[in-house]
Amino acid sequence: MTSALECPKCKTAFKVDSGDAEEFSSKCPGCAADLETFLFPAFTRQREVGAAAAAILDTTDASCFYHPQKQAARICDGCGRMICELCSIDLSGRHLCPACISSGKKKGKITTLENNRTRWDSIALSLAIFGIFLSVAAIILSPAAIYIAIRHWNDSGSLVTGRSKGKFVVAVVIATVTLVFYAGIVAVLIFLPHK
Amino acid sequence: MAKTYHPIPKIGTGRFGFQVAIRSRLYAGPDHLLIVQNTGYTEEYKRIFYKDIRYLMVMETYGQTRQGMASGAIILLILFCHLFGLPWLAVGLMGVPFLIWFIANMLLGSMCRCYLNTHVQTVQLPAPRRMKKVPVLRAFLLSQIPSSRLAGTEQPVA
Repeated sequence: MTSALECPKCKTAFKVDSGDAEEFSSKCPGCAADLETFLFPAFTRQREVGAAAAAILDTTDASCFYHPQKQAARICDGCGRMICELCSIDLSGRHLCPACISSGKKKGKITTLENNRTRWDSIALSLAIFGIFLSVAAIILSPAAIYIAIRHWNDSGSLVTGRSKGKFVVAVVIATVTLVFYAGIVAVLIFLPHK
Repeated sequence: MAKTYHPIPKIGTGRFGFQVAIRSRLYAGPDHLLIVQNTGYTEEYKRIFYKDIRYLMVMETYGQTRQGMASGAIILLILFCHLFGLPWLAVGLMGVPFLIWFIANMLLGSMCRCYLNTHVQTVQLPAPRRMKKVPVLRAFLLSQIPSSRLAGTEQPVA
């Protein structure tokens, strides 16, 4: 079997005659890097090409919601609209139309399309902890920590560790205690009788 | 609720270059690998579907030699300071961490960079970073690839 590979270092494409082996060592002809390669079944499989949408031939044919001249091939698993092959997007075994994909990504309902998340719980906790040590800044940092905890209480946490409210609770407790402590100091300074 | 992603055991975590604050880790999903780059306050995700993986390419690097030379040089420097009156206790306190680093680096074996290739892209993996652990990743991928053809689970679209 002749394998067409690409060196990840110098991007040189090269071919290796590996026989039937699924694992072999080679040297990049471009940069002479030693490379060890493990092949998987997709290597020999042809790249999947999406089917073209068929035109409507008969008046009894159902048409695509987005392309009225094309035959409907599927029903969208998200909104139930009839869609042609062109509009059908396969996502983890489900067939969705572009509108459902777009709205799902926007609302964060399709986790497979998410490429980043903000860890509001870590931000709130950091602000609360910084507030302890930066006395004057605590006037801003502690309320900010409480605001973030309340505002993002129901937000999804990490995709891998799941939603956890523990850091939010700790942040609110620390920020509240810090505020009360500094408010107490200010009160003492103001109301303590001066000699 | 059952977790969708699980860390792939025994391959460790990694960093890209000198980004000390960014930790990266590989997670196994129902039908894809998830590369998570964690900065502490944000997480970035990259997905590679098992069925699309064409090959895993491993490139051996000189990381082990460099780390060995760096830790060895520091140990020698500390020993050299003893000649100028640094007491043995101080030499021990300063030198032991670097000695542990030196020995651990030698025991863990040579370092490498791993790349996964699909039809559309080649992605550098954050882990494994040692040649010894590459077979673990390969065995994991081989165990996942047949089952990945089954449909994954996805949350409903509102």
